[in-house]
Amino acid sequence: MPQIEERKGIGRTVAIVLLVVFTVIYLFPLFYVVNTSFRPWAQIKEYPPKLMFEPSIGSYIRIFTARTGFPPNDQPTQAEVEEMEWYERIVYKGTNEQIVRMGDLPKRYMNSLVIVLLSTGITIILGTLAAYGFSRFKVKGKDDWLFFILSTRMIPPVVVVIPVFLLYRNIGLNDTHIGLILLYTAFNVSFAVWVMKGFLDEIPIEYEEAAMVDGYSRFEAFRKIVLPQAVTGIAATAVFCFIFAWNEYAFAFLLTRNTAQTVPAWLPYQMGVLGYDWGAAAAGSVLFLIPAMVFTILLRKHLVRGISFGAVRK
Amino acid sequence: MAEVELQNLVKQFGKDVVAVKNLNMTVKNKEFLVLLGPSGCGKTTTLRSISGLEIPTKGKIILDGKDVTRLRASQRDIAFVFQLYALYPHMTTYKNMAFPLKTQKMPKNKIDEEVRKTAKMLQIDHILDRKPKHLAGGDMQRVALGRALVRRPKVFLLDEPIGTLDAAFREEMRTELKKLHVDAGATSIYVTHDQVEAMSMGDRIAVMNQGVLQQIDVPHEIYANPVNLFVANFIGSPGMNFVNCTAAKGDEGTFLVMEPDGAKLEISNKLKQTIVDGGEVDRQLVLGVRPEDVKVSFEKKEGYLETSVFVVETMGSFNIVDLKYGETIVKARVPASVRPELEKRAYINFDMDRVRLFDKETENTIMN
Repeated sequence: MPQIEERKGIGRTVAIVLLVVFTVIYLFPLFYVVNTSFRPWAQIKEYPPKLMFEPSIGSYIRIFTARTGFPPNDQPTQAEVEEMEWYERIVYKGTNEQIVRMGDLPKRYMNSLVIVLLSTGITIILGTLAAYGFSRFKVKGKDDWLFFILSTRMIPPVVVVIPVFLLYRNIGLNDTHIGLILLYTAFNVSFAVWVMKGFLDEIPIEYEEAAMVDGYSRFEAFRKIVLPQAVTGIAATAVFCFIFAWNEYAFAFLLTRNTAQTVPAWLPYQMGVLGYDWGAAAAGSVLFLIPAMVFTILLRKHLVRGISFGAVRK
Repeated sequence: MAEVELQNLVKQFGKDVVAVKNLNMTVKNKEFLVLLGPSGCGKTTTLRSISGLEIPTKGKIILDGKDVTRLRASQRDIAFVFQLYALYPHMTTYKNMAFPLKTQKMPKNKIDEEVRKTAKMLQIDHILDRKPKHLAGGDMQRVALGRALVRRPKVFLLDEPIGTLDAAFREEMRTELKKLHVDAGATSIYVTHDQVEAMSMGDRIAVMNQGVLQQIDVPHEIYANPVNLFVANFIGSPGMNFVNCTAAKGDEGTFLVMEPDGAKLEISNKLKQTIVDGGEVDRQLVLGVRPEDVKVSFEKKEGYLETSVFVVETMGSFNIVDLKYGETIVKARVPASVRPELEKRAYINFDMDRVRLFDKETENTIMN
């Protein structure tokens, strides 16, 4: 029997080379940020940059702390340096600074987590319910409604920054958690409705009908039968909503100052006394990347699994 | 147990599609009623209306003397077996079967007892911890039945439940289903487009076409005395033969003039009576005859119609010979040993006690 020949020779080589090149291009910024975050202070701005160096966590300490420089006439004595805690010594040796207090990062980080998780949760609940309605019921003007929902994504969000800012100032939502939660939910819900509708349409209606004949109300059937089937769709939608809200900069920058400021809005302000602190910025970026990665990896199983409809023969 | 009564049931989808037209029907207690018809005839819609999955546009559904037309599916105590089983894919066989019991607030040990008992009866107790995607078609079918049986509903509704199984297994399931129905002692309504299933399983058969109930009766009555051309053709494999003719009255009494060659066909006295009483003389009629009631001779016989052999279908225990009479094909059932050459002359007559006469215009029978 003739067999399909394995791709050989030059085509295969070219494919591999291209893949490697693309992988390197995509991963390089990530590598560079991580690399910079571990550089000792003195080497951060060195040109040409050295790839190999003795790693330091100074940048991470700086992003977590607020510091002032030691005045030239009041440098710590040898004895005082010996007395310092290890992290104080690292900072002193790096930038000749004194740690004043814990920085704002943990608070901003919490803000980001609270706002993004809540908005993602609300988006998923609203989006799934709305999508279920559109998927299963006769809705008057269904297509028009769906188009209307989609149309909310047709203008770039930045266009409405000023109106939203004025609106929020008037109703006192500036710099509040609830303000950003509402905003991110509003942006994401249209996406969630469309994606979830696609997933729900794929779930045969017979499952719910069977459950309803078996003695369950429609809502119970939805909860016990449809939702477990829709997990894949929910996971995929949640990841996208999470990433959008987590990375959102323009609104966070304009609408929050302090109480509800999120990491993306806060990070650019991390200037050291000696100019822009690229090391701290890189360290902050690395920490900022972690939740999105963790969230995606946790849900990865559902993202790649695809939907299996074992029980219905098609 | 339960009697199901449909009164003037109408189900309309949108403005134009009328799926069920003014359906009146009573399913007796413990009866196995088969709803039979081609696809799109409204049989599934009828079933779904009884289950509560569709709300009728007009009419009433009476269950055990109680009007349930506006009741939700979950409140009707009716079990539905879907064509594609609709087993909950994320649940094991056990959980699928326990699911309808859970909502009844039944204690756990009682649920366990019922599920295992039903599983044993259906011979699926060895696959209780498997999920549907690891089940074979026949097992899925059994699980779907188990889920319906386990809570002992008033009425079973089955929507072509064995349509997707392979032929050999289907035959086995047919017997099994009938036995289950008897054992469970419930009223069953069974939807199918397969007239063999209907004939072999139904206590009574309701034949539907284009949303209209054509005939409801016991299987042999439907087979022997179809009320119209549709039923006559739909039931039987192959269906009834139809030959156009006209009733005429001559000196020797009433006879039929067959189209196209004008051959005269003697008929029984009973038929003569019917034709005369019904005022059908000189009217265009259709003579219907079952293949087994066609008498075939390869020698010329007086009073027989002249035809030629067109096709011979070998069925194993018998043969079906397609005979060309003018442009009409008459299928005759002959012993397996009879295998005439094609184009051969053949002379046919009909068992006049068993033919049916239909009005050509109304397509309804002129006999009672």
